[in-house]
Amino acid sequence: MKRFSLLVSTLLLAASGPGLVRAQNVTIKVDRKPAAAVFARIMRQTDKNFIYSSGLLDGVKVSVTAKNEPLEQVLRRMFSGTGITFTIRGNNILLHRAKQPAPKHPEAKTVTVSGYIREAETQETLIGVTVRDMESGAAAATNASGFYSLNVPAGKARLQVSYMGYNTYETAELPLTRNITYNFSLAPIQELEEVTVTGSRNESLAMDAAEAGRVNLSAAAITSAPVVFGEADVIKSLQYEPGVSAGTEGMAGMYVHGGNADENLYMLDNVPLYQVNHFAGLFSAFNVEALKSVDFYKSSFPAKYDGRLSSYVDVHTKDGSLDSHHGTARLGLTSGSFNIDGPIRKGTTSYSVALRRSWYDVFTVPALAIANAVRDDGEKSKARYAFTDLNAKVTHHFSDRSRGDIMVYYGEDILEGGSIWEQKGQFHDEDTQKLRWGNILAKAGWSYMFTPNVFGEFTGAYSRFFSRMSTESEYKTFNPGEESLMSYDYSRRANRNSIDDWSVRASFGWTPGTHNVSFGADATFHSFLPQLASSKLKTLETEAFASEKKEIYRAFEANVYIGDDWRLNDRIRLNGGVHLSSFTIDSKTWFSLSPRFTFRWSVADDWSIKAGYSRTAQYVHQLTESFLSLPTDQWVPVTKGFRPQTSDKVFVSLNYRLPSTGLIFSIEGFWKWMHHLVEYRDEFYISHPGESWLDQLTSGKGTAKGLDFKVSKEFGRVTGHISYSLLWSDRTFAERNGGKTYPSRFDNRHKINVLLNWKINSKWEVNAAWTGMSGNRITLPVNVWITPALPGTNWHGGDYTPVPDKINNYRLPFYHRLDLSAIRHTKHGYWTFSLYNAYCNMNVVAVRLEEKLLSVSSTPGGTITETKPVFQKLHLIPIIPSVSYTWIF
Amino acid sequence: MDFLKHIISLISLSLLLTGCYKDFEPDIEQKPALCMNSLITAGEPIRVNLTRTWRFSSGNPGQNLDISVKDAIIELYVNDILRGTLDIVTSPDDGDKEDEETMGQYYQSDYRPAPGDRIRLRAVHPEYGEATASTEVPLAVPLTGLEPNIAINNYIGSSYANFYDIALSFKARFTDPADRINYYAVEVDCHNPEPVESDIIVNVFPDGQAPLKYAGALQYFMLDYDAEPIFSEHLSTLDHIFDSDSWGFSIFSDKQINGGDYSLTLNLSDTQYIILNPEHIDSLYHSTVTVTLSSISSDYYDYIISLWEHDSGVHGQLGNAGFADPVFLHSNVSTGAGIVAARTKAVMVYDLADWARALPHQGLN
Repeated sequence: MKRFSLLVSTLLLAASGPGLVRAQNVTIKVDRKPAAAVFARIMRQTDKNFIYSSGLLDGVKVSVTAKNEPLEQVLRRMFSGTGITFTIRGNNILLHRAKQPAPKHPEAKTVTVSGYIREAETQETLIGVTVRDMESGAAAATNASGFYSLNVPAGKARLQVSYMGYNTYETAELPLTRNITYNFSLAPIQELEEVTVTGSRNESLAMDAAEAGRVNLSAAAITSAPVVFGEADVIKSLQYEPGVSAGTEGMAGMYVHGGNADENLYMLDNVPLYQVNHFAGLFSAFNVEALKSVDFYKSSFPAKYDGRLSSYVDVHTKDGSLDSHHGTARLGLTSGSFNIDGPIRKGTTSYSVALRRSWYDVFTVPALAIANAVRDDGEKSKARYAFTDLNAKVTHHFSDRSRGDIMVYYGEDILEGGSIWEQKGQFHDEDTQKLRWGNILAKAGWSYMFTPNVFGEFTGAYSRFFSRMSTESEYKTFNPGEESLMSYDYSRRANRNSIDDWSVRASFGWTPGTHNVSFGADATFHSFLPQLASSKLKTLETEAFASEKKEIYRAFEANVYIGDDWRLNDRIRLNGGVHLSSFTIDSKTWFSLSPRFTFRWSVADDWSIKAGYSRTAQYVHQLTESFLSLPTDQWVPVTKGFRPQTSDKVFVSLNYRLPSTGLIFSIEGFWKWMHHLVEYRDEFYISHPGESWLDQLTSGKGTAKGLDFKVSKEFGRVTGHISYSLLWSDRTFAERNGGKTYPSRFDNRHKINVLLNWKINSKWEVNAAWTGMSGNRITLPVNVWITPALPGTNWHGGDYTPVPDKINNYRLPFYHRLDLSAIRHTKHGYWTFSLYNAYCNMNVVAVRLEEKLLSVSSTPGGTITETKPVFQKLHLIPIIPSVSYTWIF
Repeated sequence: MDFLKHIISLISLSLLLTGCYKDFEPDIEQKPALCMNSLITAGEPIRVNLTRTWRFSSGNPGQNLDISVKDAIIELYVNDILRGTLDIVTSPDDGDKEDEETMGQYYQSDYRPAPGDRIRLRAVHPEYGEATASTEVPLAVPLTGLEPNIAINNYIGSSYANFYDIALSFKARFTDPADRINYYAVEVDCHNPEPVESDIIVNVFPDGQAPLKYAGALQYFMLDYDAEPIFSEHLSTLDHIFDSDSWGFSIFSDKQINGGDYSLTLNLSDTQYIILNPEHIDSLYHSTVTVTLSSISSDYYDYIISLWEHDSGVHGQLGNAGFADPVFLHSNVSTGAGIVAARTKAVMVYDLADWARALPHQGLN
């Protein structure tokens, strides 16, 4: 209504033409009050209207003292240094943004203000903090090291430093004659009632940045999102974003804009990670307690990123407090975690350690021991599953300009099973299966501010992905009445799959004038071991050991990039760059030149249009036979027979911000072409003599197109978003589906997400997330054929088997689910209560063909069973309540 | 227990998967098509079982569903030359296992293919359309030797019969031709002489009295598939780790023996020889073991491997659980339904007579 009135006023003004300015005096005294609040006092004295576009006064505070002074003089003083000018026309005062100083004039001298922004209490650097000069309107954001660099006109500046969840800080007027360093410390908002948030990182990314489809998630935001078992999860939080399909029910899968699961690059402090899941994909490998924030890119990609086709997830870990020791201990339904951080040397060196471990085995091991104890047949079962991850980091501040860190990550899943059957003095029969898989990562980094507008980061890292599987069996019999062996048979078969990466990386940020140039290079030596099988067979008399040929693929990958984020003027911002990569393997070098270009045009205040193009290349891919994340999945490099996968993507988006409400509306359309995709061919499981694993694969292409619509509320007591995605995604492979194009499995045509967070008061917070989407696609054959028995098997035929139909020919029913959670803050921590699938809609995840048993009857001739062949839907996962407590110390 | 099932069960347990199944009818239409099954053996008439595919939920063949196709025309092409059409033959209802597959009828040609023949079958039906399939009859790979190894583990003599628990195995040798890719199937069969009626009358329940029959019989449970490692060559290490085995399969390729000599180890498990022959009638000693090494077509091999993968392999396990795409059985018929396979047999027979005559033999009391 208010906006409507303002609009009417504006129209009346346009019709009346220029009016006379009447001299009118004002008496007022205000100090750093919101401008809009001051206008009311002036309007009462002058009977004039203030007309301005929405958003113009966001965060603007004014100070002025006047006693019976002319209105124009008072206004001039009041708006001095705010970047706002005014025109008085008739009864109206029109406000508008002052024109920016044109940076292209060489005579307009600029200086650079730079520094780090930290959290006041812990001195932890903050990523993505906005620093704005209220005089010139120039703005910059801190990078992953918490560093910012801002070019402003020489003279004077007033800096406003704002960050979601922290009190906004404003400097007094600063005289600027030369480059200068200002470090800031922001204090977190303590009392909810006092929250006056003027903007957020995601609001800035949506409205101001040239990039599109970028989301920043804080650790707090991830923690508050309701998920299964109450286990806060980075990937499951990202699943709520439009354009992201979740994959199989309950799993931490991510299929971005019609891409595959292996097309997302997950980086932990700038180092790629291969295995990002625990427990077949039920949980992601990132312990939220160890994280600072996560940046997610799904539409446009800065020049820095390459190596995957669909998305980039840049995970930043905590440095640790430089001031005092802090920690948390959490006990949840499935896992527990312990996190502690603090200073090693106050003010200069900090540490952060986070350990998480599942504790299913705490239940299963004793339960099995009891079950085994009550068995009287001498047989005992073995089963154990556990996952562990450890993040440890030490950060040292050499000076205000220089900082170094060492980080270690270790994540592992262990699954064991088997049985023991023995009769004392007679025989012992034991078999054991073990699977271990995970990542090890070690990284050393150094960042340095060379000049106030040149910042560099250097990283050296080693990472190892490993997957080991083995089966072991031992059977021995004893001579009667003796302990000596009568017979002994032992066999062990094992399989290994690993990737070792050694990498060095240098990246730089340079901010000349209104440019923000990023450039860098990196080199990685990969060693792939797709598969190494070994076997050992032993009897009393013989021992044999066999190992398949160790087929190691060594590859060298090198990347250079340069990109520029150029704020051309107040309305237009350009982001362009190019990423050149090379991948050498089997004496063959592949090159890829990946240009990127995006622009943002602010067509009006609070409106922006973005458009862009990105090309990406991918040299490693994951061969997966299932929709789970299993240790059988293998990461393999592109080899002679296959070309690197590439993707070309165009997008256009329209963004609108409803002033003073925190509401942002965005709609984005995209079209993506994927080339040289690699998949298992039809009947890949039939291997003929002379064939290698490469012969199981086929190369093809894919396209994806769609729309993402999102309304988000980034600040206030109620935050969250509502989103809708429309997607078409297909694949074409020469040796799949008869060469015909087919829809991809996660071609979820429509997807709706509602994610809400309500901070009721300082103690209670509730969250709700509802997801509804078109079901996943599956291959469902409906016709069957009778199968013959052929000699060479002991199988007699007369059975039936499905006739192959088109791949992914059937869409599962509409999927929907509501998750709820509540967080209760206490004096020493917080409780998290959650309900996964709150209204217990057990969604369909699979379909099977089943001979349904109708009746069983006994006759003199035997048992007669009556069956009926039916199709059956498998509904899974009911309501799952969970609770966890996090103790903060 | 299959280890993969352990994993899937563990996932299910952790998810508290109190899942449920509900019947439904998918809104997908797939027209019935011809299904053509044939095992073409060099030197034997060609026989084709022609049926049609059916919607899975529409019924059970042989109970409430007729899938037989009687009025089709099947053309036979040999080396791309039309050799005529096949005749429909109704098989006698003798309870033969193959009758389940033929639904009481089959199509037959008198043409007896030779090794190396390229066979093409084209079936046309006014309602179900057309189906074609082609295969090549493999060249023979002869067995070059068959060496038995027989040991008596236990002997029980009685007034009724003599029971011998024996360990019986064979080494069957052959040379794989190096100039081509070869696939093989092995079969082992026992044949026993017809019993001979004696003059002795005994009481037989419930039929009263009947003449006692003298007989000699070799019986075995089945081939010990684990004894011959080449039968499990199609198993990957992952299959081994996931406890998949190749029990029941005696199919292999030449990927490990390419162009070389190979000696198959054929152990007959749980073997027993039983004889009652107090009058030493010589014909009763002639129990024989027949070892057949068939060169098989690649489609034959692919069908069997896909069948194994579907039932026992890792991919099949995942697919059956709904966590992966389904594993389809290999078909070389244009409709995707049926298998037209070919083989050329090489046979060697071992006669146990010499061994049996020398056995300790307790006569009738």
